[in-house]
Amino acid sequence: MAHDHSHGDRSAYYLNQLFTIAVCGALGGVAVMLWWSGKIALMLHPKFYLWVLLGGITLLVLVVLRAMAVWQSVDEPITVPDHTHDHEHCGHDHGHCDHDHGHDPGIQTAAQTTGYSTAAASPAPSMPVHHHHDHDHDHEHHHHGHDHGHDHDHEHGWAPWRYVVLLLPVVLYFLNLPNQGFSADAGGNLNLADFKAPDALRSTGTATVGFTELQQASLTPESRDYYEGKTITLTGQYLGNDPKRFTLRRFKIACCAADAIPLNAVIMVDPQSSEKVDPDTYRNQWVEVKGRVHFFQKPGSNEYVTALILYPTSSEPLSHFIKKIPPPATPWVN
Amino acid sequence: MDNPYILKVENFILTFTSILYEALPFIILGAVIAGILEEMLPQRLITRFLPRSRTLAIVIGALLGLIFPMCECGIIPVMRRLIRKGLPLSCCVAYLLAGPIINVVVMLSTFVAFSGMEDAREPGGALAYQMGAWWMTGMRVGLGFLVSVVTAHIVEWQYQKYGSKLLMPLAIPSKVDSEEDADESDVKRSAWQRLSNISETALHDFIDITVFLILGALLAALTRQMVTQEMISDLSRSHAVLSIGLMMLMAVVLCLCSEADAFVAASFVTLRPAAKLAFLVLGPMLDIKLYLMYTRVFRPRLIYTIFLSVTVQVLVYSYVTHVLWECYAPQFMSAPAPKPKAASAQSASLAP
Repeated sequence: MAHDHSHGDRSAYYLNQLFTIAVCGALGGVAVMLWWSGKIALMLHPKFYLWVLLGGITLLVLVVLRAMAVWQSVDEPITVPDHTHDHEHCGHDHGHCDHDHGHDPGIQTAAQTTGYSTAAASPAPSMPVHHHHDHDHDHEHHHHGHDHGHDHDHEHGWAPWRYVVLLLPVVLYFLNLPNQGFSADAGGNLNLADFKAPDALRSTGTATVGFTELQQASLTPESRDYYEGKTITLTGQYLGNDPKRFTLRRFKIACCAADAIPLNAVIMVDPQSSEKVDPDTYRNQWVEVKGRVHFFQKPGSNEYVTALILYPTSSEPLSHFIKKIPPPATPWVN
Repeated sequence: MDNPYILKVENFILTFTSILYEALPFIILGAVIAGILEEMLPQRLITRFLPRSRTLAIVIGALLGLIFPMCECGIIPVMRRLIRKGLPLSCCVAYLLAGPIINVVVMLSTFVAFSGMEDAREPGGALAYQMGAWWMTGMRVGLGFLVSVVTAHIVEWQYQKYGSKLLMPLAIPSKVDSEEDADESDVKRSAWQRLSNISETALHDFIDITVFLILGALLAALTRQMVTQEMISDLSRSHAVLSIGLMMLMAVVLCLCSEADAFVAASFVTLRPAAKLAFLVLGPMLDIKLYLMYTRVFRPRLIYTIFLSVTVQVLVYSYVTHVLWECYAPQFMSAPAPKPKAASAQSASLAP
C-alpha cells in the first residue's frame, strides 16, 4: 500500500486539530453551563458539582492554549535536532510500502506530533512539535521497504466517527436532555395488594421527618413505636393505578443517577371513606401528601413497610391531603 | 409525557449523562497529568529508580496510589504515558488495579460509609453481623492489594512471552537509547513550547479516552435499564453465596466511581458483607466503561488476561471471606443493647 504522505496529510492534521479544539471546547463549555444552569443537579450528587465545573474550566484553558499554538504553528518552522517519533495512524498497512518519509533530520512537522497523521514528506512549512512525539500507528509487522530509523508505530488518527461520538453529550445538552429526574416507575412497581389500611389509626401528634428518616424508622421496634400515628407531610412522585392506594417514591443517590435507589412510601386512603384518588391526575407527578404514619409487616417476613394513611373528612376532602407541586430542582434524596 | 417509551428513553439518557459527567472531570485531570508526564518526565527516568526485584517493583506500583491518588477513569491516560516512559507494564497494571482502591480518598470514603455498620440489624431486630468501618476498609485494601499484585505477576509472565504485542501502539515504550536521552536533555524548550506540548498531549489523550468513555456509558446505561439493583438485591437475599457473583455483576454494570461506590454498597443493609466486599474490590478494576477504555491501552489478549485474573480472584477471595466471616463473626461480635432510633445513616432500607 504504497502511498504518499506528502499530500493531504498536513491539511488532515489541521483538520484534526480544529475538530479537537472545537469538540473539547464544546464539551468544556457544556460542563460549565451544566454547573451554571444548575442542571447538573439532575444527574449528580452535590459533591461532584465543583469537580464538573473545574473539569470544564480546565478543558477550556487547554483548548485556548491549543488554539493559540495551532494558530502560531502555521508558518513557523522550528528546527529540532532529533526526530524520534511514533505516529498514530489508524491501522493502515505499511507492510509493503515503499514510500519515503524523507525527514529533514532537523525539521519536524506538526503532523508528526502526538497522535495524528503524518506529513512526513511534506515540503510544507514545519510546525512546532514535541521533541518526542508519537504518530501511534498500528504496526505489528515491521517489514517496511525502507528504514525509518526510529519508532514508527502509527495509525491514521483522522477518524470522524470519534467526533460524532464526542458530540453526543453536546447535542443532548442543546436538546435540553435530560430535563428531569427519573420517572416514578423507573425502580419497578410496588405490589400493594398485600396491604390493607387500618380502619382507625390513633393520632399521636405531628412530626417533621424526611423520606430517608421515615424509611429508617421502619427498621427498629423503638422507632416504629415512636412514629406510629404521627401526622407528617412527605413529597415525592406518584406511582400507581389504584384509586385507594398508591406509592410515593423518591430516589436516593450516593454519587450519580446510575446508583439511584428507589425509596417508597405506601399511601392509602381510609377504607371507610368513599373518596377516591384519580390516578390519571397525578401519575408521575410530584405531589405533597399529608397523612398518619403506619408500619405494615410484610407477609411472611420480619420486614416492615412505611405507609401513610389519609383520613379525609367532609371538612377536609382528599384534595386537602394530596397536592401537586412543581418538581424540585434537586430530585434526589442525598 | 406519560408515554412509557419516552419515559424509558429519558431515564436512559439521564443514566448515561450521569455516568459521563461523573467521570469526565477525572478523565480531564488524568489527561493533564498525562500531558505533564509526557513533556516533563525524562525518558527512562523512572526505571532508574525502580528496584531490580520485579516483585518489589510491583508492590511499589500497587501502593503508588497512596502518593498519586487517581480514580479508575483518570488513571488510564496517566498509566499509558507511564508505560511509554519506561515503567514496566506489570507495575503499571498493579497501579491501574490497586490505585483506585488504595488511596486516601477512597479509603476515607469507605470508612465513612461503613461507620456504624457493625451495629446494623436485621429487619426483625437481630444483629446483622455486618463489617464495620475498620473491617471493610481493611479488607477492601487488603484484597485490592492482593488481587492487583497477583494479576501484575501474571501480566509480567505474559509480557515475557509476548512483549509489546500486548500493548496498543500508543502505549508501547519508545525505543530511546542513552545517547538520544542525552540529546533530549540538551534540547531547551521555552515555557510556551512546553505548555503547547502539554495541551496537545492532554487534549489528544482526553479525546482518545473520552470516546470510549461515552461508548461505555451508553452501554452501561442500556444494561442498567434491564438489570436493576432491586433484581440483584432480591436474588441475593435468598442466596448468600450467589449474592457475591451478583454483586460482582452489579459492579460491572453500574460503572460507579471508586470514591463513591462504598455508599452504594453500604445501602444494601441486609446483604452479606462478603458480597459487598466483592462489589467494592471488583468495581474499580472492571466495569463496562473501563473495558472500552482499556482497549486504548491494551490488546485484547492482555485485557482478557487481566479481567479473568481479577474476576476469578475476587470471587475466590470473597467466598473464602464469606465462609470465615459467617463462621467467626458471631463469636467475636457481641450484640449491643438496642438504642432508640438507632438506625444509622447507612441503614437506609428499601421498601419491598
